[in-house]
Amino acid sequence: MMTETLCNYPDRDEYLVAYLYDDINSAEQTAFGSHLSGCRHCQQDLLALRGVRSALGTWAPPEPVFSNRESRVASPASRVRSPEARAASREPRAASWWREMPAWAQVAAALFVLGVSATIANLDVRYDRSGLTIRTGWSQPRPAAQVPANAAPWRAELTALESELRSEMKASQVAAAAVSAPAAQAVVSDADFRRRVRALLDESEKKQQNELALRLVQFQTDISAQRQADLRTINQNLGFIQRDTYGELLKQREGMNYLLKVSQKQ
Amino acid sequence: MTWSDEELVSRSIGGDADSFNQLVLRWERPIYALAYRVIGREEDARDVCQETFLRAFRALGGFRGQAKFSSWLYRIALNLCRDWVRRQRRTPVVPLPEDVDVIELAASREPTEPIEDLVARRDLTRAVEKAMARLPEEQRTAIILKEYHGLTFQEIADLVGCPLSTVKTRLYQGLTVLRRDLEQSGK
Repeated sequence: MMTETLCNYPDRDEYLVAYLYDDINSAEQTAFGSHLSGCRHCQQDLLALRGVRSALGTWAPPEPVFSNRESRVASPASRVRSPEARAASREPRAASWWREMPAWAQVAAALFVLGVSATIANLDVRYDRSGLTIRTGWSQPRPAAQVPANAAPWRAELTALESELRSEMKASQVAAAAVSAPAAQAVVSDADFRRRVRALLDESEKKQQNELALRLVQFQTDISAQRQADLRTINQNLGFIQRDTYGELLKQREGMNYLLKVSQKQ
Repeated sequence: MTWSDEELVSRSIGGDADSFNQLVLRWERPIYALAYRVIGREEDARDVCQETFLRAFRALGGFRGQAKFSSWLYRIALNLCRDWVRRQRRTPVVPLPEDVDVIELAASREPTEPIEDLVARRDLTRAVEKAMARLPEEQRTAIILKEYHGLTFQEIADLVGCPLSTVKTRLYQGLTVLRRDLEQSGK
């Protein structure tokens, strides 16, 4: 690009921009500074470019929304804590997002966990006159009558195995209750997990809305472009028809004139 | 105690994942801002930002400290932005329609700022954004790195791999084009 410059200072544009950003060594700064004091053109240019810089200063990117992270709370500098401070604080830290699974995998995992939990817990959901009832299978002992009297011998063995398993599970539950701290932590992490899934779902919904908006705009643009093209084609065709009709009219008129002349002669 | 980038890098290489997490927290905003200004789309800028750190994490073992960590990170981000721009040229995305929501504006203004000033400021920002988007990529990148990230001319030259004088020329030309564009749009 050629610069319309009325100044003959060697490499003037480079010095001007270096001077503008104060990224220039002191000797060059002094030299260009003294040139500047006598060059009206450079003064105006510098002033205008300072104006551009000031306008550039108004352009800030929108606040980033990094999903569910402490980075939204404080400035990056304040977030850098010493290892001692981190050790002192007992709060569970947010996992690093760069080590996380993708969103779809997390949602799939959440659904999978819910499904498996419901299956394991033998979930029984009923809605009757007494309202909504949710009950896990483990909390209600199955009636013995479920095993028919004439069942095969393996059924009896299965029942025995089941009761054995139940008693083992009961024992392990008692042991787990004794260790209260990890259990509390598990509750906290469950809550975190739920919050995280919710945030992911929100984000996904927002993404879908944006996609929809984009597609709508695209659709609108396509329709508009198609309409314009159709109008152009119609105009063109009308022009052709008009021209043809006019040509036909001229021919007919010439024919009539000729016939008129011939009839007058006769 | 605040660790320097280089210290955090060497700790990360040594297996301390938390140190890398700190680097991410320290640099995510500048990298996001760079990506946003180059490509102009918030979501894609976020993706570029995340991808930058993922790539940096994977390649951390190869980082020998010849350049500053930030320069290395900027280079990764710029390469990703370039890839994005190339992809966009092939399949451009239609931008969302622009409209000024006065209620939203009023809610976001400073208590003492009149709404007219706010609208004017928003208009100027949009004009700058549009003018920047029209600039050739090299000029835009030079302006972004200098104006918003405070890199020296030499650092920019090293980063984009061109002579120092070329960086200055690109910057001057870019600013001159912006000046003309903004004057034409009455800003």
